[in-house]
Amino acid sequence: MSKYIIKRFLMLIPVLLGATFFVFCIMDMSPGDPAVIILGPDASPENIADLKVELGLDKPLMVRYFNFIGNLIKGDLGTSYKNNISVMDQIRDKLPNTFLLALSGMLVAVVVGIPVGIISAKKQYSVFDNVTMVVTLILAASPAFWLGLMLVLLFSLNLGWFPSSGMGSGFGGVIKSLILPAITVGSNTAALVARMTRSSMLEVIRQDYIDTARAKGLKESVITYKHMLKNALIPIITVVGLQFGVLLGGSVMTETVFSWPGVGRFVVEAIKTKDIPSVLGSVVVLCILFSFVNLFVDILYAYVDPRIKSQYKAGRSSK
Amino acid sequence: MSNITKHDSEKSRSLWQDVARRFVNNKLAVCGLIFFVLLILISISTIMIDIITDNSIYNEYVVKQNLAEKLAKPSLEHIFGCDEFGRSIFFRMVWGTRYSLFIGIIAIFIATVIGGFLGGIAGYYGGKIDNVIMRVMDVFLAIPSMVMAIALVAALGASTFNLLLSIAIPQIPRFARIVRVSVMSVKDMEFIEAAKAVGAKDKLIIFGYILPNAMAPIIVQATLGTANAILAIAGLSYLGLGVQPPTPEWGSILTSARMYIRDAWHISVIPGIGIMLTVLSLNLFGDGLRDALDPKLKN
Repeated sequence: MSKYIIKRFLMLIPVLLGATFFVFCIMDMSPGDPAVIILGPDASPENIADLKVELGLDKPLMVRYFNFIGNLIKGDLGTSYKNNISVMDQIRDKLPNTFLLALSGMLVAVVVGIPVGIISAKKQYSVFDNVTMVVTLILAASPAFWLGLMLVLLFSLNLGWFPSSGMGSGFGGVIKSLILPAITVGSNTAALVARMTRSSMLEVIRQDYIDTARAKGLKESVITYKHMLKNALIPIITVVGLQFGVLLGGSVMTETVFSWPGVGRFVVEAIKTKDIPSVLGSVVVLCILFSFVNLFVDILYAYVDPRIKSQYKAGRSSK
Repeated sequence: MSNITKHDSEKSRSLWQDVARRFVNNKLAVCGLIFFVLLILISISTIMIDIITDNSIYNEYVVKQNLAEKLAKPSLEHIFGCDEFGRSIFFRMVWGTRYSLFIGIIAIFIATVIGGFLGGIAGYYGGKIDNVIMRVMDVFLAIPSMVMAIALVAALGASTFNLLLSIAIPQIPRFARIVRVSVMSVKDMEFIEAAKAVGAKDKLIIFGYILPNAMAPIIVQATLGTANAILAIAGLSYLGLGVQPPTPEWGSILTSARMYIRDAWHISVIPGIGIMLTVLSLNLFGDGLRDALDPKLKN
């Protein structure tokens, strides 16, 4: 198992180098000379040329990219054009908030999606099942940011239960201000998880060994959780893991709707002020985060499904 | 033996007839298709109207500001109400249909062609070519698609064409993967061997024999991908990174909704329902298509 983890970890390095290089190249194409953006349009050509040398902008793309990677490893993402504050510091302040939001969204999706999917599967074609399937179809088709607006309209403005924007202070305040954004981020995934759990459970429910378990006189709850759910869980974990990227992307929207102080809102504001180092830094950090979560899901997957491990071993020995 | 085969082939339906028969039995999927066709008809007719009237209706009802009716609630005169500039949301939504729809369709078409081409080559030739192409695709997949779209728009600037690119590029690896797998499953079949034996060129084998047989999953992914693309377009436009005002794209109508949510609920509710119904219809259509093309997948 540890060999598998190490191998997957090493495979991540070229992927991350490629992804950061791609993002670096895209950002390099952005119009406008950074030196001119920093110094303003009235700066003298000599000052601009000096600053270019200082920022290393006179060097070729590859050299700049490797400088960037070197600095990244040291934890330095450059300074913002807008306020000269270190990009890394700003991201470090905001990333936990984004991570909290994405994780809470995931939690909503799992805590709501899996039980709903189980009940739907066990009571297939009942009223509950039909209603659930219609609701999940609607949720999966709604833009997350729009659901956020609807939640604000209903729960903040009409009922006054939760704040409509910002992040509260103190544990209670944070939780209270987190609920609506978390539901917003998690709703699409909750719908997907519910449908996935239902179909995955339905596949398992008809297997012979379930009949055997019933014939043995096992309790229905033991059959549901031990015999059915454990086997049905494998595709669900994959979906949940793959959805994390969607959740990160969705938090960008949701943070804007709820003025949540995360990386997503930071990126959108940086784009509007053409603050390239901030955009580049945030995108790179989000990619790294996403890749590590994917790695984690893959390892978890191998842990839950013994077939993956044995496949990997078989693949190694045949080479 | 030959008699039986002949008899059977006379009675049997073609693959596509079979698919159509199964599809028609799925009422939800048919509803989805009808709604989607309706949206396409609306888009085409508004484009025709613009051409015939030389944009006069567009200028008069869709983009012209009328501050006297600012934030007007839905009424008989303006059934969806008015936005912060007093423009009828009904007209803006009808005229905006084309942006969400056609940008989504074109973006997915681009992604299908490029991704399909790369995946086809990777799957057919295998070996080193396959390895290089798919590792590059892995790199693309390491970037969350919404984040990549935002980065692309940030670098290229916000415009309709750049929006198209930033929606299409993150989708390419998905299509490459699907096409690669389908091609790999078809390429070792006997009829391909037969084609090779009679000396058919690679180009003919790939485009003439393999791809038509690997079409089903591509069509399904394209339909569902268009639904996702429409969601992404609405999202980017909402952030102000997509279609620029005063163009009436649905997501961009929602941009101002947050600011006026206290005074004008209709601005946030109605365009969102439009987006939701569009995506829903495509999802239903895509799911129905998948079930019709491959009954084995149906649960």
